[in-house]
Amino acid sequence: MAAEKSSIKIITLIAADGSVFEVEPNIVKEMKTVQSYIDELDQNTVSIPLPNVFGNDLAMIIEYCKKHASEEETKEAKEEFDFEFVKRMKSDDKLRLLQAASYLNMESFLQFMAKAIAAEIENQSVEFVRDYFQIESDFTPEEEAELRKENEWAFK
Amino acid sequence: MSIPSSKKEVNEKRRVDFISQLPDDILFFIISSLSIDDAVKTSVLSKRWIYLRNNVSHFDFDWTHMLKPVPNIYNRISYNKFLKSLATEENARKYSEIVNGILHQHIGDYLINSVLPAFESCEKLKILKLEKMSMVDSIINGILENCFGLEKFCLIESDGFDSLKIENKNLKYLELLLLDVEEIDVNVEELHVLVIDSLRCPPKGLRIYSQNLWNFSYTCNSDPQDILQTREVFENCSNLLVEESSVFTVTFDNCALPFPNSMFWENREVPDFVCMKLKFVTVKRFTGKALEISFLKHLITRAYMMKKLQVEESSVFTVTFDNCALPFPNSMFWENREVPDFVCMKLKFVTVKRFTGKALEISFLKHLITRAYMMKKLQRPVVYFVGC
Repeated sequence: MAAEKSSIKIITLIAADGSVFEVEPNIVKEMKTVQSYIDELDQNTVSIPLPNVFGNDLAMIIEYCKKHASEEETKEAKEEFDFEFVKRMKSDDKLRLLQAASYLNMESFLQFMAKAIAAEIENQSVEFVRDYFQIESDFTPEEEAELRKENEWAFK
Repeated sequence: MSIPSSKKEVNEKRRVDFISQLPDDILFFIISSLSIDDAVKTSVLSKRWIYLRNNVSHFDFDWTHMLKPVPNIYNRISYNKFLKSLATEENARKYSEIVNGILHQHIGDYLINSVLPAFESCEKLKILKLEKMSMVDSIINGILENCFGLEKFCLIESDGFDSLKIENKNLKYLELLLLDVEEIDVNVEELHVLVIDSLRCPPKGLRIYSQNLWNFSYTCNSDPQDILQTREVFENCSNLLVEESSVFTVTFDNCALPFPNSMFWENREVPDFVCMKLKFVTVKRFTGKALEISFLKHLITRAYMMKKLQVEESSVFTVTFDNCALPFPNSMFWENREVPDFVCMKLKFVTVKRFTGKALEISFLKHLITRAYMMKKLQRPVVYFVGC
């Protein structure tokens, strides 16, 4: 099994919009969903459809994985990359990437995105967060007032 | 493996209510990454988020997000001032109240058998006060273990646990009030202040190893007989007052007389509880009972470095000379001490009973008179006063 796995040279990922990405096996290691798919196959080349991930997002994820899988990059360089990576994302991109990360089951990228999203809602009002996450409140106004009162200090 | 309905996504920029489709684990990641105030605020988003907040494994109890500085002077300088002022009791109290509140909401009915999820990673938590909490052993000890950065810990009127293990390296201040336990292990080298009040615990169950204790205060303010008494604490915690302690407070209390056995101190050949470097001793509610005197005598004779013995809350200091419990069996005691400056400066009334004129009694009175500058009245029913 191990020998077969290592014989795979290139993995082709096909995004929801049909765009195709060719990546090395070590890049997809982080994507557990893809990795388990590969593990089940007995082929030299594989092509994997990812119907829940859009091309733009997949491109970004692959870029992230490449940077972090690289052994030549220093820790500082990776941190610098992370910083820039978050900086050029729009708010909506972050949510989409989180969703993609969830689908691909990428633990460290998930945490990374969760942090980025947390930064997005930091020091924001409940209304802002609701709007950002598109959450519809299922509280009555009384219930909500009660909850706010319970932790008054946090809403000051 | 089907492509999700693209129509919706095109219209709504691909994020319609998607967050509620995400599994809890991922939302936990988000909450965990938030500061404590923002994390608490998420519970107002929707009912699901209450559940999420109550089950998240990680809270950063960072006080800068819990006690907000006075608004409109939020500049760098006043912020630093605020940092300093956190040390004040007021803020510490507020902080604990908030932590208390969050925990209360977090653990709900307390029916959890493992470490409170909120404390799985709390290295930032420095001050923690748990009051009227019900926690099983594994929870309270898990909390202590996980909050290894704690500097101040107060455990008050809480139950549900039998043993406490406190080994937090950074702990400086420890307060244990109104507890009922089987055993307590305090093993904190750097602990400076230890306050124990009304502790119900078998004498042998209390083990304290804190070599750098500055201030130890033990009080029994409640009635029940099984409250651990001061005498028992000393009897069993031979390491309690070791080398570096310099302040020591004893509270004599009628309801829980610390020395029921007047022979107690005399019977001990090596009363190893005494701190050789003890410098300041405060005695409260001293009533002049023989065994209290015997205890003081013990203190005085062993604490060679003592500079000041302060008698508080008792402006009347009664010394009873009695054959059965003569306070100074060794007549050389006072003479041998070069600076026996044990007298409380505020001492105003001294009553001497059953004075017999023995040399050492005189020596003791002489000492009292010369040191107690504030003394207004010295009462002495028996008239044999041999000049000194």
